[in-house]
Amino acid sequence: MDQLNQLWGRRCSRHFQMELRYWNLIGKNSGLMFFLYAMVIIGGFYYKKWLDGLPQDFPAALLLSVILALFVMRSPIRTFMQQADLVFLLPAEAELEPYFRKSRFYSFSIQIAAVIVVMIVCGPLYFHMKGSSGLSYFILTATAVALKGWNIDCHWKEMLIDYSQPLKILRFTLTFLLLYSVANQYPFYSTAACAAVILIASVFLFHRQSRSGLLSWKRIVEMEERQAMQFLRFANLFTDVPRLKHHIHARKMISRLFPIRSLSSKNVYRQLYIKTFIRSDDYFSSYIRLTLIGMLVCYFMNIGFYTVFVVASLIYLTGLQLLPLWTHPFPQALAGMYPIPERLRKQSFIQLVFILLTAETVVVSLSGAVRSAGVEGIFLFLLAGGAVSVLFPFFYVAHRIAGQDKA
Amino acid sequence: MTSILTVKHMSGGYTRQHPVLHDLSFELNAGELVGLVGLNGAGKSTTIKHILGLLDPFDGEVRIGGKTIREDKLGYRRQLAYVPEIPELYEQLTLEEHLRLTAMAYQLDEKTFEERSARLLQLFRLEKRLHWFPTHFSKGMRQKVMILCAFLAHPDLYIVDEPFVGLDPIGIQSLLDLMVEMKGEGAGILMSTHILSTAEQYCDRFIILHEGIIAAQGTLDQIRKKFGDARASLQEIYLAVARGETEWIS
Repeated sequence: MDQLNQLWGRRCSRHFQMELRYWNLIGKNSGLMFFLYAMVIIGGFYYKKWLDGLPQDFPAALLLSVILALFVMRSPIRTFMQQADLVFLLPAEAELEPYFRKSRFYSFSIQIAAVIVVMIVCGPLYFHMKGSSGLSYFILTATAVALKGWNIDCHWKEMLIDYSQPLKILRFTLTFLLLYSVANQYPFYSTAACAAVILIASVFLFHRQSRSGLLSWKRIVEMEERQAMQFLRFANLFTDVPRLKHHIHARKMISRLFPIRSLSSKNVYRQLYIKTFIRSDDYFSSYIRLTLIGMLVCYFMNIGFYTVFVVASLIYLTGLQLLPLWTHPFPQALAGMYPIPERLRKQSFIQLVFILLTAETVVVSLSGAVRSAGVEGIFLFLLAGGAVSVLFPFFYVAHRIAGQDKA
Repeated sequence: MTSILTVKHMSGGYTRQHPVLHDLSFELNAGELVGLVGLNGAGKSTTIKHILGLLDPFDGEVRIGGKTIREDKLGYRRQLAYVPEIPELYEQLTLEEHLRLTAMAYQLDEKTFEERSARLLQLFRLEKRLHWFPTHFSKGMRQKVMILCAFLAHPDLYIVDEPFVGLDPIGIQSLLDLMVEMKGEGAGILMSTHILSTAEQYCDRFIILHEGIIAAQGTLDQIRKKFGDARASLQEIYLAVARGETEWIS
């Protein structure tokens, strides 16, 4: 019994240690902080511009309630349960209630932090509305936090209910309605009525139905794995995460553009990296995404020659996204046995990064120059992007991967 | 007879404090199929890792074609093909791309590649799967792809680790026929297996490993003579060694 109580604490601290180690790696060797900083500044600038241009009848309360509701409704519970617990902890299910209570409380604490951040970000929008005051803002925040608690409780009860889809829809609807009515500062009785319905649903639907239900361990483990994978997939953008399950897309059309032309041994790793880039995980899609975002930003920002900084940092960020490709695992029995010098592997990788960055430079420079910077602009952007496209692979990447063949 | 693989007084394992293999010595000649047998944990896979150059011996040496891996890494690797016990494939490549990459790595020309791959695909009934990804392959099919890649290269030495598990009967027979054919062309094959009846039928010589030492090696007749029963099967001898009912060490 006591051991079960300690188990939660042990698992939680192990989870924190693991995440901390990844955050450490993420912070150390990537442009994440720089990127976040830039996003906050650029985002803030456009947010204000957007607010200033808002018409009087803009449905701000509706937008606010939708955003808030999305964050409040999504209430996964971190149980730290593993596949093996289906075998080892199943017999102790009756004694696990304190364990799960801790999980619910933990999830609640983490998630209200997110709700409060959303409230802060949405603050300017809220105070833009007519009739908003500090008190009403506080009431809305308190309502959102209370609803978060209710959602977590009900979500847990759903784990005990076989067919929980209708209940889920009910939960979403009620959450939204209450938030909408508080955000609009509707008369007290409508808010109270909504709250009463929530209370009744809670007691007579969620709690009553769950009393006779069996705990669905499968769904609990799935919920846990989904959350764990989300973080690992994010961390994998910056560093190699060994536990990550890799996935592939066939991408037949694009693959056809890169057939194996000759049987020269020089091309082995070139082919391997190209096909891995196109088909594995999210390398290709994140490259395309970044390029498109870069093109749009350069086109719409309209800041003349200053676009040069956007181009350069975009190329750098794209390069960082490509780095995990180097550590993408290849089978020992095939790639590990090929009679090919390690030098060729490095060369092929650096070349691919160079080509991808150069291609991105060209399209992004063009879209940046079209509207605001003219012919001199194209030249300037190409020069800046080109410089990063050369420096990043041939110096930064080459340095990062040097000496790794001994391992 | 020319020796392709020479293992001389090799001791090895994962840590120096706890060596798994003790003073192994054996040779593998051109045109020979040698069976490596032993219980789980006897050291078969560790021996294979040392031969592949994935582990460094603590003492002694491994030579392929007269060279150690330190003397000439690429030359060493070029003479060798490996079929692992658990198939590992590139999940992001099609079957055809697996074959082409192998052909590139081992510097085959287009014509040789076409001939060999067509024949191998037909032998293992994989012609229609050329554009498939490994995700859609069963364990047996994955194993076949590993075999295809190894036998496409025509190296001097094949290291084959427990190849029969999961293969269908046609696959097993095709693999056996292929090994006999490669032997005929002068290649040496070291095969680790637990299927003793098949080994008895096909292998020219045997190395019986027990707790990291070679308990016996030689042709079946030589081993029988040592065992003291001219009609004993490999299975009987092997069980006697494994249960500690014999007293011999090499």
